[in-house]
Amino acid sequence: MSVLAQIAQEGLPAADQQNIEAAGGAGMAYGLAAIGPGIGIGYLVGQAVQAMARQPESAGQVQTTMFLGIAFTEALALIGFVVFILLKFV
Amino acid sequence: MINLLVIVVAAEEEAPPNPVIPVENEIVWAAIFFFALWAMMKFVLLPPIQRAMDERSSTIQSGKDAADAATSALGSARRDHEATLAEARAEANAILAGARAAADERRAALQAEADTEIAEMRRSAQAEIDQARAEALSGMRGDVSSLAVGAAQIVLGRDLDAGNQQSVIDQALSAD
Amino acid sequence: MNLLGAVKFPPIQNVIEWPAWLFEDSTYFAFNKIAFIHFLGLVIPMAVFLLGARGSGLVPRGFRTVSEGIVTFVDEQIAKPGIGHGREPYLPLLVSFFLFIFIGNITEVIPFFQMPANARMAGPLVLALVAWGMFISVGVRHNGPGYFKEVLFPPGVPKALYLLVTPIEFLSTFLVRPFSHAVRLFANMLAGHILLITFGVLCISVWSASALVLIQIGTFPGLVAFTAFEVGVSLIQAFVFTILAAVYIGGALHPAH
Repeated sequence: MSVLAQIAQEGLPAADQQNIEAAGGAGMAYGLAAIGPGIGIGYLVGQAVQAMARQPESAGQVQTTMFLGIAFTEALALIGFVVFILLKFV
Repeated sequence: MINLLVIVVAAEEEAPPNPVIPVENEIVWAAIFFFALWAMMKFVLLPPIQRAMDERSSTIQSGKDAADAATSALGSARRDHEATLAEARAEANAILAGARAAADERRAALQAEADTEIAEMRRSAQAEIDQARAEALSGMRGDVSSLAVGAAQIVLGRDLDAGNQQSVIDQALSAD
Repeated sequence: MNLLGAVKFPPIQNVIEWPAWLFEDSTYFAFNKIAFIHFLGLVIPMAVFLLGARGSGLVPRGFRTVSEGIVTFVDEQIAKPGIGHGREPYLPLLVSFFLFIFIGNITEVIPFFQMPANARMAGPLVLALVAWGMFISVGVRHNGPGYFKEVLFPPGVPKALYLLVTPIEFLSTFLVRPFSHAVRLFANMLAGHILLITFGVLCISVWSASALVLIQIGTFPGLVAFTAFEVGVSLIQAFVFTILAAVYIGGALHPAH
């Protein structure tokens, strides 16, 4: 951890304290935003695979619904990513 | 969140490029090209493809229908054929039965004729026999009476002529 | 010792600011690389479908196969589960969405472009607003003004809960929906692009003398793997955007379910 911090400080020799805080906040924002969707997508896909294994004849329908669910779940992580972009680059 | 808002406000004041805010010229071009694609797709691009797909599916459907019709026609033709065959067989049987009946009839007629002929012949033969027997009987009666008279003459020792035959017979009978 | 000295990440402006190729002095019609990719999104489907329509015969081949495959895919996999019966009038819109977005995405991995047009907010926003206007107009046209009542006051909810449900439904259906629809595509493509940039930059740095060479030796397989991954993401994002538009339209067309 301290090595990474050192690397970060060395990599940003001219950066002031505020930029470092913004970078840390951005990384924190994305990291936190990725937790929930990660769990959610894992659970969702696991259930979808189980459904497909139980009823292979309805695999197409399950797959479509799975992509829809992933899209809705993923939106949270993507909003976190947008916040990261805003914090980091704006 | 407040931090974010401060940063966004600060960004708008300094006006550096924001990665999230869309740019006017890109919006304009994206809208132009997308609406052009939509209109083209609706009126020019998609109809021939869909028409061809519908045509092909209807062709396949009609071909399948024709095949079904041909199959059913084959079935009915086979049924007709079998019916004709059965009819012919029945007709042949009928002809055979008729011929057999005619032959039987003819044979019966011939037999009846032969029977009547035989009966006729038998009857005429019988008549001849009867006649012969009657003739023989009548012939034999005269012979028998003369023999009997002869025998009686020998027994009686008397000449028996026709005149006294009766008296002799009566005497002989009354002597008993 | 400067460990990161050899790694020079390009500034984010390289993704954001695109120099105009045509109409440079215009604010609204400056034609840059993003606009050119959108232009390809118009031209390539046109070429494929026109060449496909030219071929005839019972057995499809060449461009006819491609165009029929696209139409069948969109109809079977997107329109049928999303809209259901009565989907025929919306098929052109959905096919346009799918092809326009896919071409805007796949340029991410094509040399010379190396930039997904949908990593800029403009394209996704336009498409999401089209889908938004489309599903509202479909809902009003097929259900009359009662469509809004049906959405804002869903039947089967206790009266008191309308205080809670109605604002949420209004926000989620009419305000947040187009933005989440657009941001989903935009953020996916931007994230993928930044991912590929990161691996590309690390890959270049392998050839420079640095203490990080041993770590960076794994970045070339990573770049290859993530390029393949981004091809899949391009396809899946086009599919997801289109099927979400279809689901929104289907929900407006048959609001009962």
